[in-house]
Amino acid sequence: MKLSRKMPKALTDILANRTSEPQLYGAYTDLNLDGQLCNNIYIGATESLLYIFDGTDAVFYNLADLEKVQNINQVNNGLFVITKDGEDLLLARYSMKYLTTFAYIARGVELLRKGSSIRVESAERDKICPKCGRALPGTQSCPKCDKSHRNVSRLISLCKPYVVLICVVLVLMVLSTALNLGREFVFQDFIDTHLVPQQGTMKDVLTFLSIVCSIILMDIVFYLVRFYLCNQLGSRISLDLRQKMMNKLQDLSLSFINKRDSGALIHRITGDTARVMEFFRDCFCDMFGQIITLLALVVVMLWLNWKLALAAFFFAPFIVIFARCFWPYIHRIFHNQWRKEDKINNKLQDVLSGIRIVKVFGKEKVEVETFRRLNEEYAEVQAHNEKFFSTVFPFLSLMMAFGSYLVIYLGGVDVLKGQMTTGELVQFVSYAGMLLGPLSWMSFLPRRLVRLTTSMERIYDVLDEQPEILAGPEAIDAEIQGNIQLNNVVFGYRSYEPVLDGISLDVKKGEMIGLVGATGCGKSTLINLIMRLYDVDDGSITIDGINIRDFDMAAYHRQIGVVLQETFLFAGTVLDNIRFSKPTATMEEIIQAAKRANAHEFICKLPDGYNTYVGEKGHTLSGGEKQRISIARAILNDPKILILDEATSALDTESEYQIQEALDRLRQGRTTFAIAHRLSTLRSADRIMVIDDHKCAELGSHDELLRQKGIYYGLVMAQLQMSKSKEE
Amino acid sequence: MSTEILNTENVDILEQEKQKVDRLLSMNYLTPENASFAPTPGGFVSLTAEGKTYPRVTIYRAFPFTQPGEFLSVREPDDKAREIGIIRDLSQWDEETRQNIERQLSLRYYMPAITRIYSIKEEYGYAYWSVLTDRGPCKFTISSGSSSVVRLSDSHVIVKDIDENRYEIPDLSKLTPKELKRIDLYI
Repeated sequence: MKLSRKMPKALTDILANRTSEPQLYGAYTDLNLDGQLCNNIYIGATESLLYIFDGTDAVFYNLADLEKVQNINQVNNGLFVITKDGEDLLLARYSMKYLTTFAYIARGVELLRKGSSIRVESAERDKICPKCGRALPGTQSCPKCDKSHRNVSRLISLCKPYVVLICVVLVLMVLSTALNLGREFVFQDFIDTHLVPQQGTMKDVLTFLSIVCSIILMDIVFYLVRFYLCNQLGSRISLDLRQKMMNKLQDLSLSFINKRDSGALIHRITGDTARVMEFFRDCFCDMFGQIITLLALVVVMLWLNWKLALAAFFFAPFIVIFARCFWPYIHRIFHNQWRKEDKINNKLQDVLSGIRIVKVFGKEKVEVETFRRLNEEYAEVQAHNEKFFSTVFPFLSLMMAFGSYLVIYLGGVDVLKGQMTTGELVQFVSYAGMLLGPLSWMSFLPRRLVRLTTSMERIYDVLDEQPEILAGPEAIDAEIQGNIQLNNVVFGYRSYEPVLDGISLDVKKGEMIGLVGATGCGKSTLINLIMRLYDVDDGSITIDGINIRDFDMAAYHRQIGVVLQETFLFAGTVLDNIRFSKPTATMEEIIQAAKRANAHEFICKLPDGYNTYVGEKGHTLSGGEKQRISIARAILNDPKILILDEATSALDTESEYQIQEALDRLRQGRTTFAIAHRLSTLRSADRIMVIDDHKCAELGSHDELLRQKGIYYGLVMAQLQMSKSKEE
Repeated sequence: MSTEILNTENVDILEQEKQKVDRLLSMNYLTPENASFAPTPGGFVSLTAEGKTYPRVTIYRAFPFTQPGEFLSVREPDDKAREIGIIRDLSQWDEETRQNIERQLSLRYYMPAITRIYSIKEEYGYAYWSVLTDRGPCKFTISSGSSSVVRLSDSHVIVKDIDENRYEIPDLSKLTPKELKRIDLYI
């Protein structure tokens, strides 16, 4: 997303008179202060000036005179507000279309005002194609402008491993078409030599029957084989794609996954690849079949009787157009019906899952009444649709068959004149009917192709992504000691919204740092940075004096043990879950780790011991039990850095005490970062950092911070009072 | 050591917390008798109530769709946005204050009402709308297929575009049959 857009001509002149500094940020807004849509207001900034232009005149502000520059989010719009002489001044207004742009610009200008040399850049993607203004389907290439045949070459490269399979399918197609066309020749011959002259024996009838039967049988066999092969092709190609995407996603950094919602990504892996599979199964193979059939039909019909053929062709397009006109309407009324049905289902689901609430509040009658109303609406729509079908559809099919009638009429005249045999006419009418299949099929081809290309685009959008966190050229795979240094770290998930702003901290090997602060203040974010799930925006993190970016990711992660707030256990046994961090661990090591995490006791009491299956359909463990297993997992591989994010929050006081004891022993010689709301958990921390307003507000030992009587003191007092009042 | 400090100090933080909760629970109505609003030079509004002056306040609607002029929550303008009080009914206030507050509300909420639908074109899975709204003519894009259109009632419709702007059609029955046909596929 560009943060300095082309400014209006008039402004260029005004600005040139005022300063020689180049513009750093600037964009049009789309609303005036009354909320009316407009396109003449432009806001921009140079290194020392902020200006707003209304189409004729510009107002300038010296950044040095301002106290604050900010974007304020409103409901579906945003305000650009500056503070001057203690007074908030509303400068401009914009809709959601430009909200992100101005949020970035406001942050950029605020940094300029503070004299910072940091320039804000937006990694956010444009939502519309800069060339034609069409919406981009979650990718960077426009479906219209990007005419390069990338999709074709992608398709070809996908098909490459299956060339033999595709060739076999093609041969089967040709054979099928030949059989279908040939069958009509057999009919024609039988009618003309035996039926019309009324001569022929039982033997002739039997021969005819057996030929037709074997043709039909062969056709069925071909069809089955083809269907099977196409399915194979589709599933294999989508399997390839799914695997590629999974591999890629594991390589990509968390920030990529965080930028998109994980639901959309899951949809790309399962939904979009399924669409590609559907295309190959239903469409790709058929496509060749239909084209071959169409070509063969045209040739054979012209060869048989070109005049009749032209008559049949003449009507074909009308039929196709007719079908296409009616289709949206039919789609619409059935969509409506489906929606009403959906509503009923949702209501049922709602009421049944909330049945206790309904009963407790005595609302059964109300719910029954709502349901009756929905039910009636549905019945009404359904009746309407059925009526439509039973009245309109016969007409529709009559119209559809009109071309065939014309062919019968013209052909019939020819037959009566003796220019054509009856058999030939029957054959021709069959062909005219067969023509409809491929034609109507192909009229829906564009839609299918669009669906395919959007899915392909979305898939390749992920596959073409470059991992953001790249290991340096010579990634270091070293044993770490645990000295960690944070130098003026700045980080935000979106660069205009810093979550951490200038955090510095020097941690010695074996030190335990407690992190305290309100929810959402950036404690977990700090830990994410130390785990290098994200890269810092500014400043640096060094481990034993080496920049964290220079480490080999896998080697670094192997030496960190993590217990996160949300204890996540994979579907599998307790053993699998503990062993996850070190697959080569011996049973002895595993029991040792479980004992230290105070988990051995309860695991042994489970009916299946360490082999107990946990996960979605497995044995249900309590929150505390899960937490203990994840602690065991974290300490199994003897990490140099231990990260505990609310690691003991789900435990009762007694087991928390026990684990605290165990952890205290365990963290000897390890650098530990611990986040906790229960401050008693942090009593053994060497130093405690209080994060407030994105910055390090207080840093020191428990006693030092208490003496400061700052934020930490307040928190301790509140918790102490709380526990006191509970005791009373 | 640490317990010493805790015991010698007798600041009752819990008591402060209790007061905070009391404030949160009470319905503090702002009336023309106990409060007065005034416009600020910067384009916002200030409040004087209970002997206290707030140089700038923000005003939220509690029921933006059903009761736009009642139960307006007056809040502090910072991130925490603590509630100062509630305006029960805006129509009880004098003309000038009403205009001031309505202007603040119009700054906070942006949802153009669609009055005419010129065209809807569908391409590559997106629908491009060209409409006239009470804020002027407007073109926007919605992603078709997904739930971009929400029906609040049988006649009241909200349309969400790809930028997450929202547009409302307050009364479907006021559209012409032609316009209705254009949007039929989406509602």
